[in-house]
Amino acid sequence: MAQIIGLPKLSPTMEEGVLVKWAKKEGDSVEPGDLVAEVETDKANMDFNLEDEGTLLKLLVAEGDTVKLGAPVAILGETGEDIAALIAEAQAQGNGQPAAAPSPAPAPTPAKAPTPTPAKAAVKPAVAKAPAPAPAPAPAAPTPSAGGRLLASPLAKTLALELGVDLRAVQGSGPGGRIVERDVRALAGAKGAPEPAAVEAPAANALAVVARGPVAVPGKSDEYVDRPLSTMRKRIAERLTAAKRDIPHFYLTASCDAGPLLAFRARLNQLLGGSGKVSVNDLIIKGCALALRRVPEVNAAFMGDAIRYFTHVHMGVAVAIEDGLVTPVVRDADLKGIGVISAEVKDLADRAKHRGLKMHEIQGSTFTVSNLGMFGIDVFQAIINPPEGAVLAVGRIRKQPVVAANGTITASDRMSLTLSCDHRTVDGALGARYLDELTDLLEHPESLAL
Amino acid sequence: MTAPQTYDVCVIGSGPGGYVAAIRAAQLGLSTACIERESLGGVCLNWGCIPTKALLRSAEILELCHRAGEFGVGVTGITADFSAMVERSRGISRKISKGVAYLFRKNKVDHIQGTARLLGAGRIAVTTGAPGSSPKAPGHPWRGTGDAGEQTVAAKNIIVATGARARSLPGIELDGDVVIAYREALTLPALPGSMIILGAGAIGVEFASFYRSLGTEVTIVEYMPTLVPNEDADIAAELARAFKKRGIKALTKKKVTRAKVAGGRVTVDIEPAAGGPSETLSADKLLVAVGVTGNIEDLGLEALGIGTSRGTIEVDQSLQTAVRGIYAIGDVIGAPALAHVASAEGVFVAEHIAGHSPHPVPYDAVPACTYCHPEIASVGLTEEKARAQGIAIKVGKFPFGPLGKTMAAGEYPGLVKFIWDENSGALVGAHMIGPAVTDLIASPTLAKTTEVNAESFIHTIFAHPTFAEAMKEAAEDATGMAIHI
Repeated sequence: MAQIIGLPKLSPTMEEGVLVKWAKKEGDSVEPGDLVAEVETDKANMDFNLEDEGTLLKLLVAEGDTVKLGAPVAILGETGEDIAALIAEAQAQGNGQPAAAPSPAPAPTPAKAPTPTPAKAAVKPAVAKAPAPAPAPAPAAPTPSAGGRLLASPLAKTLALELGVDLRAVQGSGPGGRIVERDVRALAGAKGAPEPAAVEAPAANALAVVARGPVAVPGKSDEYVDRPLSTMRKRIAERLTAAKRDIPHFYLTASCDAGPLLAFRARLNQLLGGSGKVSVNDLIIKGCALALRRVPEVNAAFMGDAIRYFTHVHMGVAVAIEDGLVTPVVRDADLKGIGVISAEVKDLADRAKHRGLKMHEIQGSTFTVSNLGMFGIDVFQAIINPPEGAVLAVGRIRKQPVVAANGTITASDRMSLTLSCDHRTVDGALGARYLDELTDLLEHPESLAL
Repeated sequence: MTAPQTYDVCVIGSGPGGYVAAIRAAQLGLSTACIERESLGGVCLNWGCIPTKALLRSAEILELCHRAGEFGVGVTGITADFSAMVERSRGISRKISKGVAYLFRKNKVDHIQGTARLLGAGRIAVTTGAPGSSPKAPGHPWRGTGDAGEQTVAAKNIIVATGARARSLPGIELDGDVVIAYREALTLPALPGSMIILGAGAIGVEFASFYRSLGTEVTIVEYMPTLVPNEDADIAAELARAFKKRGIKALTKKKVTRAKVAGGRVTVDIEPAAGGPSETLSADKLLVAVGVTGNIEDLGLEALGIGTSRGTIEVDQSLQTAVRGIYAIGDVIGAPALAHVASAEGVFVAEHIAGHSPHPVPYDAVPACTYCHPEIASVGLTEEKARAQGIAIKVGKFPFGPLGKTMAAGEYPGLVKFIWDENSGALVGAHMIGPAVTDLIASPTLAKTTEVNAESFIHTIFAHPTFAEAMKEAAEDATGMAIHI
C-alpha cells in the first residue's frame, strides 16, 4: 500500500530542511537504505535514506524547497497504484503539520501491540540512516556528565531539541535540580509558549513551501525588506544569544611578537614548495592545541553540576560562509603535524562554503579559534561556542612600535590574542596562564613542530 | 507547670490542611501546637471525604448484590439497613480522627482543644470548649488558667487553617431538618423517600448517587447547563447518560427561587436560569450543595488588618497574610476546596517557616475526584478551557467498554479523554469517568508534574488486563493523529 514519506529528523536540532537534491526520480524503485535525497539541515548537508522498499510514485517537493520536519516529501508504493487520494491528503496536511512524532530514534512498532488504527493515515516518518557516529555527544542530547546523570523531564528534553537549547547549559529548577519546561523556555529567550504555533504558520492547503530569498512585507516595501531567516541564521541567533546571555564571559587580551611566526611560516612554505601553503592561522591552531596540553584546565566544559575536562584536543575553526558561519573541527590537533592541519582546514573550509560538511565534522570541538586578521581587524572579542570553556580571537599582524627594556624603540610585527573565557570554568589567572603559554609557543614557533 | 513557652508554630484547625502542616512543622524540629474546636481531622475526616466514601461503599455493595445474578451468584433476602450504614460511616470517622490524635502524640504536636481568635502577630486567644475536652497533660505549655475561660497561646508563626462550611442561597434557609446541607445528609435518622438536591457539583452528585442506590427519588437542580459543571463537557454528558439510566432526574439550566417547608416536606419553586415560567417540586428533603464559604468569622482578622474577600482570606505567594508570620491555607483561602490541596499548602507553609525553599504548590496539576457511580476524576484543563486559552491541542478519547478488564468486571463503560499540547506534547488535561478512575488519575497527575509528554506516556507499558490501558489508548488516539513532538 502506498504511503506518504515525511521529512525525517536528520540532526538533533533540525526543525526544517532544504531539499538540496533528489538522488532518485519518480518511478525509481528503492531498497531499504537507499539514498533518496540530500537535505540541508541547520548545520550540514545530510543524506536522507529510506528504510522501506517500493517505487517512488511521486516527489512532492522540488529541489531547493524548504520543508518542515515531518512534512510530506514523497509517496512510496507499488507501480500502478492509485495515489490521487494520498496526494490530496499530503496537500491537506501541508507543510509544517507533521502528523507523526519524528524522533531521533523511532522505536519499532511491536507488531503484536493492539494499537487502534488512527482515523487518519499518519505520515510515516522515514527512518533516517544514522549519520556516521559522531565522536562527540549531540548538542541537546542528555549526556552523562562527570558528576552524574543530566536530569531533565521528557518535555524539557523534547523542547530543548525543538528550540535548539543545549540542556547542558540549563540550570534545573525542578525538584532535585531537575530541568523542567520553564528552564528550557527561559534559556530559549523570548520564546513564549505560543511561539512555536506562531512560527509554524499552519498551511491551509497545498504544500506550503517556505519561500527563500528576500520577501518584501506588503505595504512597507519602500521602507525596508524583511529577509526570512535561513535555517543557519536561526541557529546562529538562538545559540549565540543563549551563549552570550548564559555564559559569564570575560576577556583577556595580550599582544605577541609575530615576527618569528612569519619567519617560520616562510621557511615552512619554502620547504613545501608547490605542495601546499601553510597559513598563520594553521600555526595558531597548532599553537592553541599545544597550549591546551600545557594548561589542560582550559580544555573543559561547564556541565551544570560538574566541570568536564576533555581528554582530547579538538579545535573548532570559525569559517565565514555566505549568510553565516560554521565551525568545522580539526580533531586531535595537538597530535597532528602542521601540514596535516593545514590540509584539513583547507578541505573543511572549502566544503563549508559549499555546505558540504557532515554532522560529525562540525561537532565535538573543545576550543575554538576565530581569526579576523585577514579582514583587517586589530582586536576583537569572540562569543564562546558552548559547551567550550574558551574561544580565542586573533587580530591582524601589523607593525607597531615596541619599547625595549633599554628604552630603544623598534618597529615590530605585533598580533593581538584575545581569550574569551567562561568564568564558571576558567578563572582569570588560569586564562592568563593559558595566554602566556600560547604567546610563548607562538613566539618560539619551532616548538610547534616538536 | 513548666514555664510558659512560645511555640515556633501554632496551627488553627486540624483538617487535612492544619494537621498535615502541624506534623510537618514538628518533623522539621519546630515546636508546634494545633488548636481545634471540634473533632480532630476537620470536615474531611468527620463530615466530608471519608464518611461519604463509607456510605458510597455501602451503596456499591448493595448495587452489586442486586446484580449478583449477572455474575452467577445467587443472593436472596437483600435488605438495606440505612442506619447501620450511617453508623458504620460514623465509626470510620471516629477511628480516623483518633489516628490524627495518635500522629500528634507521635510527632509531639500539642493538641489544644478550643476556639481560637487572633490577638496579633504571635498571639492567639483560645476559649476552651466543653468541659473535659481540654488536654490535661501535666505541664501543658500554654499560658492559661485551666479548663474554662480564655487563655493565650504564644507562637512565632501562626497558620490559619479553619476550613469552610456549606453556604446557601438567598430565599433558602437551612433548617437542619428538611432543608439540609452535607452534614445532616450524612446522619439522617431515616431514609427519605424523595430528595431534591440543589447543585450538581461533587457533593451534590455524590449524595444523589448514594441516595438513589438506596431507592430515594432524587432530583438534581443545577443552574449551569451540565452536571458537574467544572468537569469536561464530554465527561458531564457521560454522567448525564449514566444518571438517567439510574433514574436520577437532572434539571439543568434551572434555578431555585424559593423553598418553603410545611408539614415536614419542602416545596421548591424552580425557574429556567434565564428566567421564565416557574414550576413547583416537592420532596421529603432539600439538600443544598451549592458550594462552601470560608470560616473567617470571629477570628479577629479585621482588627489585625488581614484582608478577606468573598469569604476567603487573602494571601500572597508564600501563603502569608498581610500580617507577617500569620499564614493561611486550605479552604479558607478559596478554591479549589480540596483536602489534598490543603495538605500540599500545609507542607509548603511548614517548610517555608522552617527556612527551607519549598517548591510552590503545583496548582496546575491538582487532581479532582468525584465518587458518584460512575466515578469521575480529572487533572488540568478541560478542552473548553484549553481552547479558550488559545492552546493548540490534540484530543484523544477511549472508552473503557472495549477493555477485557471492564467486560470481566461487568463495569460501566465510561470514557478517558486526554488533551495534549500540539506543539510541545505536554499533557494539558486528563478527564475520566468510569471504573477506578479516582485511583487512575494519579498517573496523569504525575505526568503533569514531572512533564511526561505524549511520546513518553505512549512509550510506557501498561499492564494487561487493567482499566489503566484505557489511558494509554486515549493518549495514542491523540498522538496518532498528529502531535508535533
